[in-house]
Amino acid sequence: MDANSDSGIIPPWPDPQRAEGDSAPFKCWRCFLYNKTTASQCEYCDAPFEKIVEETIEEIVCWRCLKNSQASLTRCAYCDANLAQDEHHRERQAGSQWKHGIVAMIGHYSLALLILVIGGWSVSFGVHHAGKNDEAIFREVLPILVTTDVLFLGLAVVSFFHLRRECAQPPGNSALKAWVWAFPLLGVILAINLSYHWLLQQLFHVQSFNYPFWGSNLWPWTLALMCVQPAVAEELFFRQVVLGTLRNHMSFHGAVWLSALIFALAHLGGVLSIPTLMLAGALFGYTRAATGSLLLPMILHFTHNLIVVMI
Amino acid sequence: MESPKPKLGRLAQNARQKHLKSARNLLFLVAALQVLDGIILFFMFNNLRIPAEAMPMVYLSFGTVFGFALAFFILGLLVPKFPIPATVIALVLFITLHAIYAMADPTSLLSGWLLKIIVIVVLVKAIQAAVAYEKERKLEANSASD
Repeated sequence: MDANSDSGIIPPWPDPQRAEGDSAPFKCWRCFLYNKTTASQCEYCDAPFEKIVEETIEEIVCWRCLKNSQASLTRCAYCDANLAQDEHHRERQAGSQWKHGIVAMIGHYSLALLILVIGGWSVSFGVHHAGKNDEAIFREVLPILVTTDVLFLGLAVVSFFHLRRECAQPPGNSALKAWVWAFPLLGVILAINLSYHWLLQQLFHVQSFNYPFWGSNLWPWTLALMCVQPAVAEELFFRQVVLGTLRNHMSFHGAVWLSALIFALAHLGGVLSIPTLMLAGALFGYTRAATGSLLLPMILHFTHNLIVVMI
Repeated sequence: MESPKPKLGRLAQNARQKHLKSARNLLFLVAALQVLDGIILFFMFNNLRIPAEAMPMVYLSFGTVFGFALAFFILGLLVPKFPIPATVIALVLFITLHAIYAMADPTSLLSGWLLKIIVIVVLVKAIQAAVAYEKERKLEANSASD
């Protein structure tokens, strides 16, 4: 409860910098200027503060940052978006978010698959693999991998800007817990992943590709293409665009697991790895929701891929 | 007394139900086609001499084909209860499945292209109908609680 509410004065919206019992200045609902004293009216524009207590403050959700702002304001108190454009964006969202948001997201996903398929064709039909070790093959397919990764990164950025208003922003209210638990859980998932692939090798004699890392001068390329690029582009696409779009239409757990499934299915080259990839995707999704940021899932994704490449 | 629904709203709801029903039927059809695909694959492999060490991979291919068929069948059953997740998973799965086939054999992209387009269009319509249906259900639940 705000300290000012005792005297019948409340700031029109919660000030994040204002602690409980703090007599720090607060913003006037009309002129946006900070008042230094706890007076009953604004010292700059004389706007009454008691009136706000008596009336129910009508709030609207900002179309850009999705935070609540007072309906009478022309600009969002948090991100300064023009709230007068809200009707236009609401109409746009009514037409797009409810009907086309998911379809557009799946369209972007299909484009991502197309990039991967063309990359796969180039590797299969453009490169002669017979009698070569993994390092020589990697050296030969390097231009194809770079092109594919750059295209996918571009697509992730375009998707982000195209669907940024369709994506729900997670609250990020358990950030500390997520940072504490994420790495032990990543360890468990890596253990499951490695055991599962060992089992696959035993049962189906599946040969895995060893990316050049130890003792190879190609290690910076491996690091960039297998660890950094997926951590950035895939997290931006799957945890921001896909998870954000799905969250508008289904439960929190449903959205996390469905985005994890889409993330796993996108790894066309490793169909057998879908179960373990889904587990990893769910972990990244939950950390994204818990922290409200992409930083932790990016670090986890980078660490996951680095350990897989190193082993 | 319950107020009668506006005629246009009821018509729109009927159209949505129709889209969801056709999506469900289509998913059953896709599942049946997958089973057929698996049977054809079985007879093709039966006529080939496959070395014993490659047999686990053959079984795995069958498992994948029939696994996808089962997935489409289950999604078809789930469409009325969970319209958005079921239709979204179905479309994503369908696109991914054909991307996997195309990766292995580029000519597969063109085979049955008309059916693929029909399936994709029907599933897109079903997703849109499911989204509108869920929105209306939420609004109805909200107005009932008020």
